[in-house]
Amino acid sequence: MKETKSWNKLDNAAKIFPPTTSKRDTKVFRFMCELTQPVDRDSLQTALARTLPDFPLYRSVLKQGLFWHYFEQSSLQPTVEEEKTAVCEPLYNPDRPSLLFRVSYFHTRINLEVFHALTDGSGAIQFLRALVYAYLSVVHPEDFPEGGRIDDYDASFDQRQTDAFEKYYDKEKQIPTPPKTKAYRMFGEKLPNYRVGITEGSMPIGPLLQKAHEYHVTLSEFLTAVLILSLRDGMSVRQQKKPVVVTVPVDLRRFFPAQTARNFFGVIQISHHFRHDGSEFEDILKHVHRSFAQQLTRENMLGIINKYAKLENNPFVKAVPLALKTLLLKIAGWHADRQDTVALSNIGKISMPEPAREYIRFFDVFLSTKRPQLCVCSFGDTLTLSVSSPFKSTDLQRLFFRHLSAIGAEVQIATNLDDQGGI
Amino acid sequence: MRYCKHCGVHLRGAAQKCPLCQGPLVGEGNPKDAAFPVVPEKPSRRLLAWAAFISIAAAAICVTINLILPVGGWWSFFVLAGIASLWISLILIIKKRGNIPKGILWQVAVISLLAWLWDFFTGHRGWALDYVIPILCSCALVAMAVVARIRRLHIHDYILYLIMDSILGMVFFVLLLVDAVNVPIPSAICFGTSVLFFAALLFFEGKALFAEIQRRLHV
Repeated sequence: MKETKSWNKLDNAAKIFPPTTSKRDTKVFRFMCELTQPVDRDSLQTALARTLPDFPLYRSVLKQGLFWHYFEQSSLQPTVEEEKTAVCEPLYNPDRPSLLFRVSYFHTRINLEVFHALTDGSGAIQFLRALVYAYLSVVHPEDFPEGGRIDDYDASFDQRQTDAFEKYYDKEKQIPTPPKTKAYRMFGEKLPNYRVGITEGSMPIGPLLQKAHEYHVTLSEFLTAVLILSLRDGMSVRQQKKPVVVTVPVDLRRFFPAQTARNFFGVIQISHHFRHDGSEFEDILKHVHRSFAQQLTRENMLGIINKYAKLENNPFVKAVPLALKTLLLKIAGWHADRQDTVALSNIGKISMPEPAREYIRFFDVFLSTKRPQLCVCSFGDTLTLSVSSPFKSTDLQRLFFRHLSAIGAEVQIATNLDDQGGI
Repeated sequence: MRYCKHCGVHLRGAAQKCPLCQGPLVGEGNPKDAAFPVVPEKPSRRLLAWAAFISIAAAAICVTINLILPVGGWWSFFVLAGIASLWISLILIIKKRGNIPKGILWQVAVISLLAWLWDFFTGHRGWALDYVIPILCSCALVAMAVVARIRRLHIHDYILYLIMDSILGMVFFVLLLVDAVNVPIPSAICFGTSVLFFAALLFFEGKALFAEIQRRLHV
C-alpha cells in the first residue's frame, strides 16, 4: 500500500472529455460482442483478471490537478455484473473516483463500456478482443491449446501508453481552419432519465458492399450518403436552408504508425447543402465522395494533429487553472455542438484469431450522444450499424434502415426502445 | 423472429410493435432473444423532496408571521439564513460523499466561512475566530486521520487535504501573534495539532507528499 502511485497525463484528445461530460452526454461508449452461447459470469471475471495486466492504464482513476486532469493508478478491482442499468451510464464523477470502464453481460452478450478520456474506439476494441479471447479460452480450454492471450497486438507497455499527438506534433505544419457554418440541428422530445436510444441493425455485409462498389465508393462514403438522404427526407423545405454536417471521427493510426492504446483520432466534417450540392442520392454520393477524398489525406490529418496540439502546448493555455479551463472547454463544446447534425464512426473490420471465431456472432458499438450518431463495425460477413439517439422519435432510424432494406440488405433490428417497458 | 412488412426488417425479442414505424408485426417473438434488459425508471428522491419542501414551508410560515407581526424586528431573516446555511452544508456533504477527506475539507471551508459571516452580522463578537474555526480545524485533522485509518485509504487519497487543513490551522499562530483572537486556548491547540500533523506527514510521508504536489501541479 505504501508505494508511490504512478500517474499519467491525459493525451491531447482526451482533455476535452472530462469538462464536457454531463448527465445527457456521458462520453461513454460501449463495445459489445455477441457470442453463440450464454455468458458465464465467473469465467468472464477470470478472463477480466487475466486481461487487465496487459492494459495497465485501465487500472486508473481520473483526478483533478490545479491545471489539468490526470490518471492515477488505482487499487480498485473491477467486477463483472449482469447488465441491469441503462446503456452508457456515467463512469466519471469528479467527486467519486472510480474506474473508467465497466464490463457487463446480458444473455449471450459481453459489454465493455469505456469513458472516452481513457481511450478511443480502436484502443477499446483491442481490450474487448483480448477479453473475449481470454473468456473463450476459459470456457473452451480444449480449443485454445496456446493459452488465452491474444498475440496479434504487438506493442510494448510504453508504446501503448504513448500520447501519439505529442509524437507527431509539428508546429511548422499548420493548415488553415475551414470556415465554420451553423449546421441543421435535429430537435424533438428527448427520452426520459437522460437515456439514449439504441437501434442496432445487423445484416450480411455482401449486398451493401456490392452496392458501394457499383458506385465506386467506400462503405463509409456510401453509408454517409444514405444517412444524409435519410436526413433529407425528414427535413422541411425551410430547414434545408442550412447544410447538414456529418462529423466523422478518423482513426489517425491509419495515417501514422502508432501503437498507442489511448486516444488517437481526429475528426473531419462532411457538409452537404441540398440546395447547392443537389438533393438526389447520386448528387449526395458524388459530393460525399469528393469531400472524403479531399479531407482524408496525410497532410490534412497532420494539420488536425497540429491544430489540437498547438492549443494544448500554448503556455498561456497551460497556465489557466483547471476550473477556468473546464468552463472554457464547456463553452467551446456547446459551440461545437451547433456545427454538426449527426456523426458517423466507422470502426471498420474487427478480426479475431481462428479458434475464437466460431463462438462469436458479431460485434457492435454505440455511445451516449446529444445528437444521433451512427456507429459501424463488421465481423466476418456481418455488418452492424447502430444508431444512438437521445430523441424519442425514430424517424431517422426508420428512414435509414428502410433505405438499406430497399437495396436488398436483410436487416435484423435489436433495440432498447421496445414497448416491453423500460423506456 | 418477428418481422415488419413496411420497414422490411426482422426484430429480435418480443416487441409488440415495430420500433422504427410503430406498425404491427408478424411472426413469433422470442423474449429470450432480447438484446437489452428492461430497465425500470429510477425512483425519484422522495426524502430529499420532503426535506426541501419542509424547509420552504418553515421559511414561508416564519416570513408570513413576521410580516403580520413586525414587532421584534426582522427575525425571519435569521431563519432564512439558517435554513440556507444548513442546505449549503448538506448539499456539499451529499455531493462529496464519495471522497470523505475531500468532503471534510470542504465542510471546514464552508462552515468556517458561514460561521464568520454569522458572527460578523450578529454583532461581531469574535466567537467564530475564537472558537468555531480553530476547533473545527483541529477536529477535521483528527477526523481525516480516523477516516483514513478505518477505510484503509491510500496515503495519496488524503495527504493533500490533510496538508491543506494543517496549513489553515497554522494560520492561527499568526492570528495569535497579531492579537486577532480574544480567547487563545482553542487557537493555540489548533496550531499545535496542525504542526504535529504537518511534521508527521513531512517526515514520514514526504515522498508521497512531494509526488502528490507534483502530479497536482503538472502543466
